[in-house]
Amino acid sequence: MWKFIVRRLLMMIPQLFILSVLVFMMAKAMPGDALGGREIDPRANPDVIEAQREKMGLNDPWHEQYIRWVSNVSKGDWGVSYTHKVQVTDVIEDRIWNTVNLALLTLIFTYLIAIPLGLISGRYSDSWIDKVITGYTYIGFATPMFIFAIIMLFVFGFSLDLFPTGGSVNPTVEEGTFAYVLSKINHMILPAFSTAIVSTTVIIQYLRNEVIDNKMKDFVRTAKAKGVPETNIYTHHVLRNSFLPIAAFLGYEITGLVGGAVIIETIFNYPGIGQLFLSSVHARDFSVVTAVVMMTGFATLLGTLLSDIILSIVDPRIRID
Amino acid sequence: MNAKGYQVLCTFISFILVAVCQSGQKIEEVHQEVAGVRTSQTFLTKTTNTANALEGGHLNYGLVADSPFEGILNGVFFENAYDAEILQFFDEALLATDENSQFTQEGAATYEMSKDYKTMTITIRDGVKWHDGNPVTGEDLEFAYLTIGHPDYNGSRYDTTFQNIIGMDEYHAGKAERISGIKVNGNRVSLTFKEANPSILTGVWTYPLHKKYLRDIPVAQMSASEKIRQHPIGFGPFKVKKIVQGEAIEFEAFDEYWKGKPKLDRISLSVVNSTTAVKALQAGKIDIAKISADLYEGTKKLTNVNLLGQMESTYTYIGFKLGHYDLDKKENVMGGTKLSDKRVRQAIGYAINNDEVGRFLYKGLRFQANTVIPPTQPNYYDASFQGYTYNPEKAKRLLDEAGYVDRNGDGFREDPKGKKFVLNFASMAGGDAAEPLARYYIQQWRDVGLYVQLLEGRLHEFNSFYDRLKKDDEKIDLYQAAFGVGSDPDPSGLWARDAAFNYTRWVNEKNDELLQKGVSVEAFNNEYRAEVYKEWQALIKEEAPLIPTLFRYGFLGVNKRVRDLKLETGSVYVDWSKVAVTAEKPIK
Repeated sequence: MWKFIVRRLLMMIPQLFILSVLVFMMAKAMPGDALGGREIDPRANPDVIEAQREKMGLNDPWHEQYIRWVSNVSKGDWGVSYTHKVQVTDVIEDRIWNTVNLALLTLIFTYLIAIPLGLISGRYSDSWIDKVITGYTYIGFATPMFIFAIIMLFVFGFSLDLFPTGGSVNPTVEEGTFAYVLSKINHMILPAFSTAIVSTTVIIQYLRNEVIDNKMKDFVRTAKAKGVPETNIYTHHVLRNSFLPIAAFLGYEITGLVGGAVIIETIFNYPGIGQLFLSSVHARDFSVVTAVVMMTGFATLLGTLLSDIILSIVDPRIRID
Repeated sequence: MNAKGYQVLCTFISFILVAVCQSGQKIEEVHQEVAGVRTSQTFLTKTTNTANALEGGHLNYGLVADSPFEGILNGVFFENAYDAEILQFFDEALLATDENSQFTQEGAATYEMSKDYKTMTITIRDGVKWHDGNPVTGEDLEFAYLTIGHPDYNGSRYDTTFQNIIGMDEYHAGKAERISGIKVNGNRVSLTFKEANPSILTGVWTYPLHKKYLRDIPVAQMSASEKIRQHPIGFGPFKVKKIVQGEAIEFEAFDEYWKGKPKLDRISLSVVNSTTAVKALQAGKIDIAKISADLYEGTKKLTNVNLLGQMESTYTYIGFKLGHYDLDKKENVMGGTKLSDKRVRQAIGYAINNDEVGRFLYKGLRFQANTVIPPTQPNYYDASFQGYTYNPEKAKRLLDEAGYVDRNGDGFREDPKGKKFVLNFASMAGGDAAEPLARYYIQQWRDVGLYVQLLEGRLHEFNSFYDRLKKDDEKIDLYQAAFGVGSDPDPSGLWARDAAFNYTRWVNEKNDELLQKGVSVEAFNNEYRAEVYKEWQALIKEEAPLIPTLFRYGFLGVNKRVRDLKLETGSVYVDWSKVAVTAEKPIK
């Protein structure tokens, strides 16, 4: 097991290296640069802009810039954002917790909805309640996220005025107080719930199939024959086995969420990593773009590793060394 | 997701939202009259509310943006238009401007010019105070110059007006401690210039920088410092109370504001997504928001919101690539392109119907531009100037004269040598009208027999468009872009022989001469200067290095409880100290 983890971690080094080369090369291949936007101001002096470009090293060939970047990053210096004019780490830090908090709340909502619904519809398969639940999952599958999120925003944000319609916190509350935390959560509920209610449908169906699968298995029949009460069979025998694949999903889920949900963040005007990434691409803010991609890349590798580890723990049949 | 996909998505979102908005209210058919060719509509420029104003009050301002604001909250350092929109509440320039953007004596400082127009003396009024209670001094203004001219300065304000100050070059090169052309005496600052240039009266920097507050921070680190990003200090009507980085700002009234205590107690600014801005106005979540052309129709239907409109100092144009920029000589050189015959360029101008574009595609929010000086410079704008009005017959005649006729009967004209004549038209993506507009122009050019095609069959993203334009990509024959002309009427930055922004690469001796005359000492006389620019506009029309196409309006959606908000030509922003509200909560 340990050998496996160490090997996977070592493998990450070349993977991250290749990722960094690709990202850097492609970022530099984008036309224009961070100073380009300034050049439509008729009063700006092109010589001054050119001098700044020279000073920032934007005129050097990409591989020279890459080597400089790598050596800085290895010292922990991710460079300065061209548009925000502060350290890239500060820019990301401003947003990352919003994204992570939103992701966690979304995850909680997703599983809170998925687990009971999945179990019920699996246990009472082909009953009316199962039909209602599977009906919901089909609708969920078919619903485009951004339309659904807009409707949620319209109904609960604007018409009923129950939730805030933008931002991550009410600016009037004092930082560090309990009211601040509540305000933060209040701003997350609507986007998190909107995401969860749609994305959860996959997990419900997965869980339902697992439960149906398991309840036909021999060990369930044996338990039944031995006279174990129905409820016990489900809570002990079926439930555990049905959770295997769901648990393995978790690692991948986290990966997807760290990258930020561009659509949700845009609709709810929630300042997170997804929004930052997009605006940085538009502004040609290379240092932020590369840092965000490296971060999500790392999270992806870590997430898949986590999934594999969970899988091997919960299901001893899977051998990984 | 790529940028294009994102745009499509955003457009789609706004469609749905508009549909959703509409379902919630009675839709009134508004029949509007479209009159005249030029200014097809007039818009309110100030609020009409006359109810009694409340004492104090709390206003919600929506900053319409699709991403968080950057938060470089200082006139010396900001780069982004959103940051500028925030700055208007708490900071301002020392000298006020009139409708021609020329300095007046009404601001926080007054000024005097010496007889030879080479020295400007700015005197700051008594009682002008920073938000921390310190007086604004001449040293603060000098400090702004010392910062912008500093070798480590990382912003983009260091331009020709700065370089015109005596001693600035030495200071910028790091050879001098101070700028010899700037003298400070208490609240008096005198600036001495190398050359007398009337642009001084519109373009000199008059935003002071708080020296006592910022002097300990090295210039290179100033823009990243807490003092600018978290706790900025200005001397405007409101002071910053709290910033939630990128999302929201709380302002409170600055009681010692030099024009007197503002009427409002508080202003809360928050970022509003462009897709939800109209809805937020309707629901009374915000009182005020900038409204783009795409949002105009949706906002017009709201019963609780007034729309104020103002001309923007921008013109859209069709430019022709006529040469390239010689990097060694640092000047534009003409030649070697397909559109060297000016009759063809003129024909391209006569072939397109911009009056219709303005009326139908932009619903009257843009209108045909007759010349290259926009109406926001009333001293120099000539409404009677006859521009390129739609005249396809004339276009055909000009092309015939120039020898571009259809020889093989395929419906398109060949060049005088009989070769196939294909023009590549480059245009930018962005906004709902971009694609139909480009297609419409191409259709009209084809109608007069010119085979024009969209460069690579698609619209181009902003950055790559300008990148290729700048590098004189040979594939581009003509393009559509816009110029912002700013406050200075001198067009040299975009038109001079050595201007890198002169993207058409057009050079002309008469042009050199007129541009020079426009900034001569004589041109301090406004009438003389207006004459020069009149002649210059006629030259541009005749030579047609570009065809101005559209002028545009910008809008502000304002809740009906707001009073005394007034948009003024020449000044970009509103006097927020006068603005008041007449109800506790926004009208829904």
